[in-house]
Amino acid sequence: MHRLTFIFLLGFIINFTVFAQSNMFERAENYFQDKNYQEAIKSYQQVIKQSTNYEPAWFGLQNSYLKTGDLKAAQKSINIDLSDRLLWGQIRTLFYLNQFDTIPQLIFDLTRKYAKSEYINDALELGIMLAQTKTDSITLKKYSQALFKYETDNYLEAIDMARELIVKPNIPAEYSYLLLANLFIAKNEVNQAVGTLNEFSVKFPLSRLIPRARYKLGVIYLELLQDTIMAKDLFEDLISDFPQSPESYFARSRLALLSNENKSK
Amino acid sequence: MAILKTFRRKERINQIIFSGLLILSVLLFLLIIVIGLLINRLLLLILVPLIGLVIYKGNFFKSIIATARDVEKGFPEVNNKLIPAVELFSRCQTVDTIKSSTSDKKENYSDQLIKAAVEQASQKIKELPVDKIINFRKNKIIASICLTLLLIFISIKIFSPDHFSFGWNLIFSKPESLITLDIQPGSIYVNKDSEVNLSYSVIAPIRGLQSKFYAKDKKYKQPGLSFTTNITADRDFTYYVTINSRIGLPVWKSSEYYIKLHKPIEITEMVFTYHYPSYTKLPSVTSYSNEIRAVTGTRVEFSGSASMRLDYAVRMGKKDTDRLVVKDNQFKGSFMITQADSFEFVLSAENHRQGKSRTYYIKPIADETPFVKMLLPGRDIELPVSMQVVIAMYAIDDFGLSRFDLHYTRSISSETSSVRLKTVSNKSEDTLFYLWDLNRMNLLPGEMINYYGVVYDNDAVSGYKRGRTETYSIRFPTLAEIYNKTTETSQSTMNRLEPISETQEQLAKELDKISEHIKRYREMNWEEQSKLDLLLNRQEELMSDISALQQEINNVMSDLHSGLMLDQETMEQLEKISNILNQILPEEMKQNLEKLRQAMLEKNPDMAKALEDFKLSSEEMKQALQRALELLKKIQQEEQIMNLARKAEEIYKQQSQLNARIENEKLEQLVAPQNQIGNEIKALDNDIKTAQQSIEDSLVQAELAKIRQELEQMELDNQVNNVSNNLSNSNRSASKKSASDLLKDLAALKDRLQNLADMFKQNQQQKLTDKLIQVALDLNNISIEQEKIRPSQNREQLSALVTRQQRMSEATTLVAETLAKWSEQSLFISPKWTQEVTRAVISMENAARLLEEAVHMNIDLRAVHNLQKDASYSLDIVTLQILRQILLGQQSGGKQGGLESLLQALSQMTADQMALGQGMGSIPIPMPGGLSAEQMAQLGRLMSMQSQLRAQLEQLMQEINAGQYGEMPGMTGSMQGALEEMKQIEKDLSELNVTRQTIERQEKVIDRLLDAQRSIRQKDYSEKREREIGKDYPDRPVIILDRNLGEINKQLREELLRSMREGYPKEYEQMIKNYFESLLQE
Repeated sequence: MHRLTFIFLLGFIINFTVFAQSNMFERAENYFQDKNYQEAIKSYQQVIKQSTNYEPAWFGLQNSYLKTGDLKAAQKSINIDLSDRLLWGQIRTLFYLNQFDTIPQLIFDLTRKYAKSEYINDALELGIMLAQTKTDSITLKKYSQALFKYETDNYLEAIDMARELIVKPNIPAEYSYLLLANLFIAKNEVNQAVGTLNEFSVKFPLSRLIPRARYKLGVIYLELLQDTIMAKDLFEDLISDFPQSPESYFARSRLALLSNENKSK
Repeated sequence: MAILKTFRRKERINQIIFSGLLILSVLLFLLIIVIGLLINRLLLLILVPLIGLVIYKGNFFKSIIATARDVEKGFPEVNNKLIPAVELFSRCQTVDTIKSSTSDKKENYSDQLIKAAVEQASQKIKELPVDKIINFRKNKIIASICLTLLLIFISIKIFSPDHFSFGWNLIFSKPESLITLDIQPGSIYVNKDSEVNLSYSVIAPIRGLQSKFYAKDKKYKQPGLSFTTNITADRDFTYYVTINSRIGLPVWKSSEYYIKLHKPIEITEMVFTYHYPSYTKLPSVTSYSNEIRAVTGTRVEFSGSASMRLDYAVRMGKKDTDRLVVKDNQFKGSFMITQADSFEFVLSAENHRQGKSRTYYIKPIADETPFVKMLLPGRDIELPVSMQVVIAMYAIDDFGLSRFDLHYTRSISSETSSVRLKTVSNKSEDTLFYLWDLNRMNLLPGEMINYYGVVYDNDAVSGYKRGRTETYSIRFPTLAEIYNKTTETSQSTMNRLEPISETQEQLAKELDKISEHIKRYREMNWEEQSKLDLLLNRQEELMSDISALQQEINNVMSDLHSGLMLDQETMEQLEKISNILNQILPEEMKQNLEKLRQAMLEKNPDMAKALEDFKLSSEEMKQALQRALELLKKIQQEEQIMNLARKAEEIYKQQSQLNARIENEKLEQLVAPQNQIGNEIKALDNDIKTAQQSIEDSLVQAELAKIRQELEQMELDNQVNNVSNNLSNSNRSASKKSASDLLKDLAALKDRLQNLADMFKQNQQQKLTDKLIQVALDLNNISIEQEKIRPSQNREQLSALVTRQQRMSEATTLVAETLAKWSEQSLFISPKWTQEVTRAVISMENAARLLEEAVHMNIDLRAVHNLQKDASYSLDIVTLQILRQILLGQQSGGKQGGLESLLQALSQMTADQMALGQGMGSIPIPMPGGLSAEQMAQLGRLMSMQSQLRAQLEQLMQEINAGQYGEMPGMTGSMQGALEEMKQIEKDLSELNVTRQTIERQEKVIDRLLDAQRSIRQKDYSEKREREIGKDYPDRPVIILDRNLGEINKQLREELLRSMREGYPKEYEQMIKNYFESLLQE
């Protein structure tokens, strides 16, 4: 009889704890959705206290810190060994903190530990950009700040920063054009995005990123502006101007699809 | 019963009288015998057992029954009556005593019956004359005998009183008091074999006695009482005299006397104690041998004991004599070993006796000359570009070393100079490292220095002995020789690879034909088979040619690795060539060849497949050979430009040194060096011309053309001639001016060529980086797009995905082709990347094919998804490797890897630490109280230098820990020791406490830094040589190391060195080495 009572009580306590924990996590998530990041941080921390290896809580905490702009906390207080997204978050944090020298090693760690992670391409993209730029470059630092503003939804500030960067020709400037286009799309100012990408093609015709920008432009016309004729022209130009680029093949596949659609109509 | 008792008493008295008379008679008899015949008094002892016997046999205490029995025997009429009656009477007496008891009554005779029997017996005995049976007659007889003997005894006393008195005294007092003996010479010592007169005379109170003389265990019978004889004393012996009675029985024996031989004086114990000279550090040793073997300068103390008390003792050598200290039978003294000698001890004892000891020999041991071996360079070398040579010497001596010197002679003069490298104390074995900086010697190209190391031992007593190494040479090569080395290597490699490449191409063609034949006819005829067999043999030959070439390059590198200060750029170029060669042989080539051979032997149906595989490998090798030739061409061009810059730099340096010499030296002496520089300038001009023609890069060609024009304008030839003329004319001011002008132009030329080399290098690096970044971007883009092509269950969308997947595959093929093309142009673009990208293409094509099938039929789309994932994975892997390559290139400043820079840093640090050690040599040890201002300044410089080195090492360790040079487990551990020692040296210097330990510490730092370099080189070298054909390795047994192995190895190595100093013929040296090496392996 006593044993049964004990088992019942134990079960009750465990259930209660799990319930309380999931309740706490839900509350934290709600705070995050409501952009009440300070409260979200507290709640995530409470969840982590009870269950130290609960990865979603760590992820929420990391994002909350990033949103509040507390980059130091995001760098130091996160257990990044739990998942690829936490490690990727750490890479981004270090980038925003301008600690560029430490990033390559973490990129190598990410690809070694999580060979098929969905974050690998983003990480490699960042790595390639760093490989092209001197790590003490001021423009790189500014670019990282612009990107951080973009991540924290401060689009206006991000746009201002990116506009400052595109004045002089350099690698961060080239990437800033693409960022700027993304910012306008995020703000639903598609025409501004188109204008930015066109300006990029004119200003930096020798940039390695031109095929990418022009392909992006075609996709914007096709998917956002629904202007298939313009999109088709853009893709054809891309194929003719950069026949050896992978983007030309992407463009070819788009054109093939467009032609198929026309046929089916 | 009363009658019986009376009878018994009478019989007892009779028996006692008889016994007494008997004993008395025997006593008298014995006395008469002893006194009369002068027999030994011990005879009287016979009396003792006789008395016992008499008492025993006397039967003095008979029972009443025994008495009754005697009566019954004497009177037959009472036979068998008397005894029962006595018994019954006795029992009746007992019954009366114990009346109540009835148990004892064995026989139930009544009392009346008993009484009647007793009375009857009593009655009978009363009637008998019982006394008659007592034997009185024997008493009478013995009394008569006793009386007779008494009379005889008395008559002796009366008639021969002297005899009686002598005999009586012999029995009851000491015979010596009766006999006077005069014996000569008594106990004495005599000389051996001398004649000894022995005599004696005896005075005895009675006549008729005889004497006997015993000497040397021999009896001399003598009827009288005196005697004399001569005996030869050939040994020790005793002698004595005995006195005998008339009948010859011994009466008395004298004391024993001895005659002993005199013995010579002998040394019974002799001890030598060797006190070695202090420099040997050997403890004192005790010896008992008559051979005194010790190193010259050893003081020998000795002490001995003689067989007798001594008066004096001397040690008598061949040249001198020492009187020794003597006490009783002990003597002692000391002497110093200076030369070979022999001596004896002469001892004198009382009575002028003298004795000589055996001969003692002094055999001085020679202090061996020290052995020294030149470890580094240990062979004839060419002067490195750094103009610094590390000298390492190992020296060993039996008692200790004192210093290392270096002697050298320049080929242009016959004068030998010497440098003191190191002072040693308290060490019998030492290894010296010394950085010999030849920069200041103003060597001329083509000049040679012959040098050898000398080491001195610490024998201050008989003079410092020296050992020397073999003579080695350092040759200062000409500039062309220095810088053309790698060019020659790459050229010779190309020359050898070209025919191999051509043959490989032919082989590929022939292989194609055979393959076509098999495809067409499905079998091979005998002719085709022989062709294929021949072809495979030729292929094997080609493979072994390439392996041999690889080995040659590796040997050159290995030689450079074993040195300490290698020329970094030469090393890098050689490593490039080695890498190219390592990539020629496809991994599976050997396996495929073996498989094909096997299939041919077994006539296996799979032969077509084996042939196809082999063909692929052959094709791969053909391409690899072409790539290697392309790359070698590029390397050669790179070397050409770099060499131009280095030669110009060297010429500038030489001219600069010459200009400095114009100030102080005789000008005529400088003409030859100036002309030599002129020759070097001409050679450089030629090299520029050659480079302009051979280098394909148009930009470089244009630059070189410009430089040549500038050179023409400079008229360097004329300038050199002008300086030479001025020098010949001893016009110092004109020489200075013209030389200065020439130097300015040479500086301009140097900068121009250096800029060109830098530009070329940067261009190359930039081009490579640009290419790599472009490929990385493209691959990552494709990978991102690939992620977007996710198959859905909606079959209508599938056909659109097919197109996208096909385009993706084409885009990737394009990148793979670009990579393949570039990999032929750069060593840093690995052909493996192309293979991995091709793998992605295959996965994409398969995915597209499956998607196409999925449009028409129901297929599991997970397979498509997996193929797409694999494709992305391959692309990401290559992107990552490219990224790593770019970052590594940036970190190491365009070099291949960080290891080289680490090595360079360590190498420089070692050189600096050596220089610091050499600087310490000028500080006196132990440090005096007050240092001079100059010494203090020197100390300050050393401290700052040590502090910088320590900081550099700490920085280096941090970089290693951060993984900047790749994984290096345990490397910082080995450097940690060096760091600790450095800190301690810094402390010693700051506390003005430079001791012997400080010097040793700095040697330890060098040792540890060199160890670290060796470890890195070993790691680097072994990593680069890892590539080999894959095969199964059997499990190796676990090896348990002997605990003593380290110790034994050390001992064996020491033995090896010792044996090498024995001076074996040169050709045996290797055999000795091999022998000890095999022992080490055992």
